[in-house]
Amino acid sequence: MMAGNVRRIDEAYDLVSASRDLMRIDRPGHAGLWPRAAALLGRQALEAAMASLWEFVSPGLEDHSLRTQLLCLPFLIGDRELGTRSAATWSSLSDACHTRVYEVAPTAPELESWLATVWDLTEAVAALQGRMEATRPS
Amino acid sequence: MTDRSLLKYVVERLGDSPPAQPHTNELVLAAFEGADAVNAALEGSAPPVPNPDATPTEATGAYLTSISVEGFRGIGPAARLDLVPGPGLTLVVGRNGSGKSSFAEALELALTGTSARWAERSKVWEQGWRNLHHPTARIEARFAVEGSARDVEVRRTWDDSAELAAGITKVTGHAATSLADLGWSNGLSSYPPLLSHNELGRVIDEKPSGLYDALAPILGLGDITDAQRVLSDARTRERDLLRGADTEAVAIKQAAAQLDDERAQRVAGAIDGKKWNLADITEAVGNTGTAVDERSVLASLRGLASLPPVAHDEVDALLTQLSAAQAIQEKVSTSSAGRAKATADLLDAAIAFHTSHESNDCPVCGTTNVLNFEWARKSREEVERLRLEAADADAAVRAEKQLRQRVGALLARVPAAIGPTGDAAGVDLTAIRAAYATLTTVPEGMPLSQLAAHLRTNVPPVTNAIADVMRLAKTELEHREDLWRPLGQRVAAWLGTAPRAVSARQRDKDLSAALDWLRDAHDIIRDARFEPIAAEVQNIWATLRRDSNVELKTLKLAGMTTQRRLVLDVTVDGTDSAALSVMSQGELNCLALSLFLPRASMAASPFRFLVIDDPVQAMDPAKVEGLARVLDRVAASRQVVVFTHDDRLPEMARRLDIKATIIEVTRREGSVVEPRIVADPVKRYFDDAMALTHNDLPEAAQRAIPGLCRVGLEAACQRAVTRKLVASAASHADIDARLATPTTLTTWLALWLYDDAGRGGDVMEGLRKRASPGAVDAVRWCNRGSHEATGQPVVAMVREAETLALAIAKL
Repeated sequence: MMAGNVRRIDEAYDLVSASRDLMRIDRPGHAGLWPRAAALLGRQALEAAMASLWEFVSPGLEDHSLRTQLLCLPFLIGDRELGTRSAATWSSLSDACHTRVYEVAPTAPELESWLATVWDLTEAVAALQGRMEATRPS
Repeated sequence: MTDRSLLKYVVERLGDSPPAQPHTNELVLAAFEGADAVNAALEGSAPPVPNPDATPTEATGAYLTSISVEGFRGIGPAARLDLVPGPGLTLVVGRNGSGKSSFAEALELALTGTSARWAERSKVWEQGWRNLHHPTARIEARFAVEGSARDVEVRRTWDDSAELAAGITKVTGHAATSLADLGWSNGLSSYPPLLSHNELGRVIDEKPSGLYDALAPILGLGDITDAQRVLSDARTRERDLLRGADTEAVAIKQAAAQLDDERAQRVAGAIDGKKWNLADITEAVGNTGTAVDERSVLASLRGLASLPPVAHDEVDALLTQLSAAQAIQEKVSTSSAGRAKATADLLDAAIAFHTSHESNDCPVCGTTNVLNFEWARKSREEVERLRLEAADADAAVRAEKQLRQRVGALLARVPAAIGPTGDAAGVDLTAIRAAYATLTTVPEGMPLSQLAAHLRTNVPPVTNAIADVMRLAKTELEHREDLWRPLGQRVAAWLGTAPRAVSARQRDKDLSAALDWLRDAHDIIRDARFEPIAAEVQNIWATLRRDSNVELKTLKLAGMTTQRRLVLDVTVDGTDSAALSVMSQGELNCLALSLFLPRASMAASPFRFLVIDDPVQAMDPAKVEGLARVLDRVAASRQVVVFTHDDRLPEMARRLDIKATIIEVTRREGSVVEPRIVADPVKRYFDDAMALTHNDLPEAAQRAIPGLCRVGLEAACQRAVTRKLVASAASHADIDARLATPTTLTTWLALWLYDDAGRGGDVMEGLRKRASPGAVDAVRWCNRGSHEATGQPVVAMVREAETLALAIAKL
């Protein structure tokens, strides 16, 4: 259980970093693809952070629809602002992952701001887990 | 005076850093009182002291309650758009042609009598204003007004065939019968609460001065700019006067310098640029006779023009006497006079010898017996005759001498004006001098007969010469007078205005000093007042721009009159650039919104509502997100109504969990327009909560359900309290303060129940009395369930909470 949690939250950190790398590092062959790829990694990071949270505070919630998870997030993370911001970011990232006829790929600053939110959430989850670890009777 | 703080500042600043010129203080203060006061101050009288305590007209704050429209543009039968009067965001969504924009235009028309959308378009736009399906046209906007329990209605109606402009606006409620009574007239121009996409785009397209004009009114500097205008007008008057006189002075100097006339020369000499010797000029022009130098050309011309005529009477008399003297001389030769006398003396001696010596013989020649008695008698007669003859000859000599003297005197009388040599102002004097020379050259001892002939011959040429010279001199004088007269008149006319112009020069200086001072004061106040607005613009831009690489650096109002402009400095990816040219259309729209949202939400604006028509056009998704956030922020203290033609903004509001009422406008056949609330921030929380109950959530996650219900109940309370406070005529500042106090559901409920957030302890009691039986349980569940599992039937609790929320919000 413990190892699993650490793994999930690390996965979230790794995914955010990978997403940021995609934006930063110019690789041949990535041209034009990186924004959606970065968005995809960002969304996965956000979902990983949520799943990591659920394992601690509400096991089983990860099996529910993402709308349900996002509705619960503000109340379970204990920070309504971060919760709603994360939910909005998930929607934006999700939009960016799909090629829609009229929507253009997200720009770098846009992605930056979304990834910043994912990072904040990941940090908040890690902090919460740290607090719960500390108070858990051994 | 409408702004006491402004005048106060001016008076204080006048004390602290007075203007450079004296009298300027008076001018500055007078300028706040108007043109008459400035004129009085210029004339030197003390201006009336402006009254900083005059009561300003306070604008009455208002929220929008509803817009009813009938027979106008896309709307046929009466349709009403109901709005919640209070801070909050309402999105009115409708397809193009659904009639949604007709509500916005109707409101604009009711308030301003026109519409920005038509203002610059052809007549055709205005003609199509009536709805085809409905003959009666009528607009009614209702406002919840501060300090009034009753709504204020602004109604605009038309006769059935009337033109758009012929509509009649009527205002009722709050003891007001016009928009001006409400203090809205100024507000509408300074803080227009209606922003349309077209208008925003247009203003951005305008010159920098247009942007300045659009923003400057919110700073409330009207009084100071009015004062500046008064001073500037006064200065323009003085300068016009001065410029006229200066130009004329230059022209006069030029004309005078070219004129060969010493009056002109003197005038030219007395005008030295802007230094005028008016006394000298007056003298040169004023009196043509006395002031001119005696040695001057004009004087000599005048002398020549009035030469004394030859005294012909005298000459005639002399000639008569000359001929008389001549006749006498012919009788009595001068030589015989002496001989007659000597002969008489000799005879007298002979007679005496004869008488004393009694001898008849001549002692001289010896002839005897010739000196007898008879000889003695004859000799005595002879002596008498000889003595008479000698006296006559003496008299003739004396008379001739006298006569010669008189002729000499006559000839010596050559007029001084002719002078010995030289020319006089173009009049040839050779002839007259020659004539005089001939006349006056008389050889010593010329016989009288020749002298008379000399006079007879040589006086007429002199007389003729005098006449010639006089004629020439007169012509020359007249010529000169003709040349001078126009200039003289011109100078005289100019002299009439010159003293006023001289004082205008000083007034110009004084007024300029006052204007300089006031401009500095204006700029200082303007910058100080614009600073927070600029900060807010930056703030909004920062939120709106999102992915834009354009960053707003400086933003300030600068310059005056024709130089006035909005300074907008931006950087693109960190590099300085000219603002507007680097921006995309979408960015320009965002910039326009950034500039005008702060304007529309100024504290001084009477309008607590903001209506924005279609701001989303040309915005990419990221900007829509920024816009939603900005609107949400403005909606915290303002009623924001946004009309939009697609779902992007509502969708973004949902996604960002922004509390927005979404009204969908649809239009059926026959222009039947139906606004319908499709999403309500209060209802939404319960819809979400109910959705969660359908899932078999893990225990801990179930806490989200009462959490959502609690937020929903708080939102319901907030709406109800706002509505009640607005209706109770509380001041808007008061409303804002009271809405900021509650932090928990209980305090919100206390505020709703008792108008007192502090009575949390009485909330359950109040709910028991005023709400449905399940309300108490529902509230407890909301509060407790957010933290722990309660084991209560979740669906039933959500239903109870929703019932309570709907009752509170009166949905």
